[in-house]
Amino acid sequence: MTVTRKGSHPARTGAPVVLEAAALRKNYGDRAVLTGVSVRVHEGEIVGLVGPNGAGKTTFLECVEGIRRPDGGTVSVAGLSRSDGPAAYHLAFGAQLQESSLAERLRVAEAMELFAGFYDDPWDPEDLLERIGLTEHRRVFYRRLSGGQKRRLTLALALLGRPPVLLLDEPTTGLDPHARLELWGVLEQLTGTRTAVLLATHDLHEAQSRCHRVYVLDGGRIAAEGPVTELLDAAGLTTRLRLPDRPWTQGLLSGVPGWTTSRVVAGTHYAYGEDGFAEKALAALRAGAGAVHGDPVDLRHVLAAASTGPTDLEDLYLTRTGTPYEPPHAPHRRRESAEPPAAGD
Amino acid sequence: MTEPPAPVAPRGRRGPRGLGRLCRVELLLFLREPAAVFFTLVFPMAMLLFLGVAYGTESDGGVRYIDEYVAQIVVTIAINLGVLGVAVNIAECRTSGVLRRYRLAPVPMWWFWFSQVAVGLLMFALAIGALLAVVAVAYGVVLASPAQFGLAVVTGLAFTFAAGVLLGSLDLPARSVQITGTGLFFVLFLGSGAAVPRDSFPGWLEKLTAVNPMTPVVDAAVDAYLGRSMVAELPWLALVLAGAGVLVLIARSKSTWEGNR
Repeated sequence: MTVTRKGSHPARTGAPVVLEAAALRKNYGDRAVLTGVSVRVHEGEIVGLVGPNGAGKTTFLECVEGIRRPDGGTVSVAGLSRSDGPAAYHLAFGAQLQESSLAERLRVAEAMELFAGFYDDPWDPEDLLERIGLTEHRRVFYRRLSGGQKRRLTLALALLGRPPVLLLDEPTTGLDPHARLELWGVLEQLTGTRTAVLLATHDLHEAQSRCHRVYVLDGGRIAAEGPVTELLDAAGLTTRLRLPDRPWTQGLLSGVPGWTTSRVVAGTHYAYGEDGFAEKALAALRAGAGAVHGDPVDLRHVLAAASTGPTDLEDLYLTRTGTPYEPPHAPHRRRESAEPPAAGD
Repeated sequence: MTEPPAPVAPRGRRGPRGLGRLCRVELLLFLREPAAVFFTLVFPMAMLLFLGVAYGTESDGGVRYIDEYVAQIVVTIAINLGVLGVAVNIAECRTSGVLRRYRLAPVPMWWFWFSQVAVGLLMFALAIGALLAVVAVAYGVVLASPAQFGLAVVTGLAFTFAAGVLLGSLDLPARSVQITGTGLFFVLFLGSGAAVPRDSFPGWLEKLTAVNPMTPVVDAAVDAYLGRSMVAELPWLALVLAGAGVLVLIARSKSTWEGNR
C-alpha cells in the first residue's frame, strides 16, 4: 500500500526575502523563551511557526512586531528594522494579534475608515469590506459581531496598509470549523501571491495544509524547518505503524526493511519508516508470531489494535522532540479512528 | 472579484489626517458611553439645579452660595473627567488590547494620548458651557476674573488628567482601575472643598485636606470666579502643575504597551 500526504505546497525560496530574524534571544527572568531563533520568509510565502503553548511562538512574533525587545539577535522586515522608528517600521507589516480587540461601540465601517487614515495609500475600505463579507454589517458595533466576523475584520485592518508582510498569531483559535474555512478563504483571497504570511499556530494540521514551509518551535529553539513533505521525507517518516507496545516490539520492528525510528508514548509504539514499511512490518508480525511471541491471544490483540497511516507534522514533532504534541485545550489525539489499548490490555 | 492590490513598499511619514479621524472616533466612543456622558454632562447639572433650588439664593458674607458652588462644580467635572473618564478609558483600551492594536499602527503613539486629552478637553468645554448657560439663565454668571479662573481650572485639569493617565497605565484590571479611580475621585472631591466648604471641617480634617492637590485649585477657582485675589494660591498651583508632570513621567516609565517589555 502506498501512503499519501496532504498539504504540501511548493516552497518559494527563490523569491526575495521580506522578513529575516536572526538568532533572536529572549528571557523572562531566568527562563529562556527564545534561544537563538532564526526565521526567514520570502515574498508570497505562507510560513507556519508551529509548536505547543509555551514554545515561544507569540514571544517571537512580538519581538518581530516590536512589542517586545529581544535580548539578542536582529529583525528586518521589508528592509526596515525597529531602529527606523515604530511609525516607519509598522508600515512594513500588518499584524493580527492573539490578544487584541477594538472598542466595543466602534462600528465596522468606522474601524475601517479610522485605520485607513493611518496610511497614505491604503486599500479601499469599501472594497476590503466587500471582500471580507462584512458590507452588510458596516454599521454594526464591533461587540455585536460573531467571533469569525471579528477575526475577518481584524485581518482586514491588518491588510489595509497593503503591507508586504502579514503576521498572524493563532488566527483561527477558538473558531468553529465553518468560521475557520471562511477565514482561510478570505486570507488566501486577500493576500494573493505577493504578500508573505508568517503564521503562528498550535494547529499542526492547519499548518501542514496551508503553509509552504514550517518552523517547528520547541522550548524556544527551532526543532525543524522546511516544507513539511521534505521534512518528513528527509527524516524517513513516510509511513507510520502504531500498535500497543510489548517488550519484543522494538526488536521485531527495527529489523523490518525500511524502518527508520520508533517512539513509545504511554504504552503505544509509534514506528516510522519508508514507503511500504508498515505493510512489511504487519506481515512480519503475522509471519513471525510463533517465533517471537508465545501468546497467540495477545498477538491477535496487538494486530487488531495496530493501525497504519500517512505521517504528518505531529509525527515529525514526536520524533524530533521525543514528546507527543499536545494541542492546547484538547486531549491528545491521533487521526486514526480507534485508540489502541494500553499495554497489558 | 478582481485581484487584491499589490503590496506597497513602506515609505515616508503620514500626514496628520489620521489624527483628526482618531480624535473624531474617540469622541464618538465617549458619547456612546452612557456612564461617561451622565457623569460629565448630566450629573453636574443635576447637582447644580438640586443645590440651587435648595440653597441658591442664600448668601454668606454677601456671597451667594450658588456662586461659590459654580466654581466648585467646574473643578468637580475636571476631577471626574481625569480620574474616572481618562483612567477607565485607558485601562479598558489597555486590557482589551485596543492599545496594542494602536501600538502596531504606523503612527506615533502620542496620537492616542493626544486624542484622549483632546476629547477630554472638548467634553470639559461642553460640560462647563452647558453649566454656565443654565447658571446664566437661572442665577446669572459672575465670573469676575476669567483668565485667573481659566488658569486655576487648567491646572486642575492637568493634575487630574495626569493622575488618570497614570492610573490607567498601571498593570491592573480595568475593574480595579475603576474602583481605585472612584475612591480617588471622592478623596479629591470631598477632601478639596469642592463638595463641602473646608472651613466647615473639624480643625484636624481641615489641616489634613490642605495637602489635597485639588484644594488650591478649588480655592483659586472660587476666588477667581468671585473676583477675589488668588495670589496666595499661585505657589500651590505651581506645585500642583509640577506634581502633574511627575505623574506623567511615572506613567511613562510604567507603561507596558510601547515596546519596552
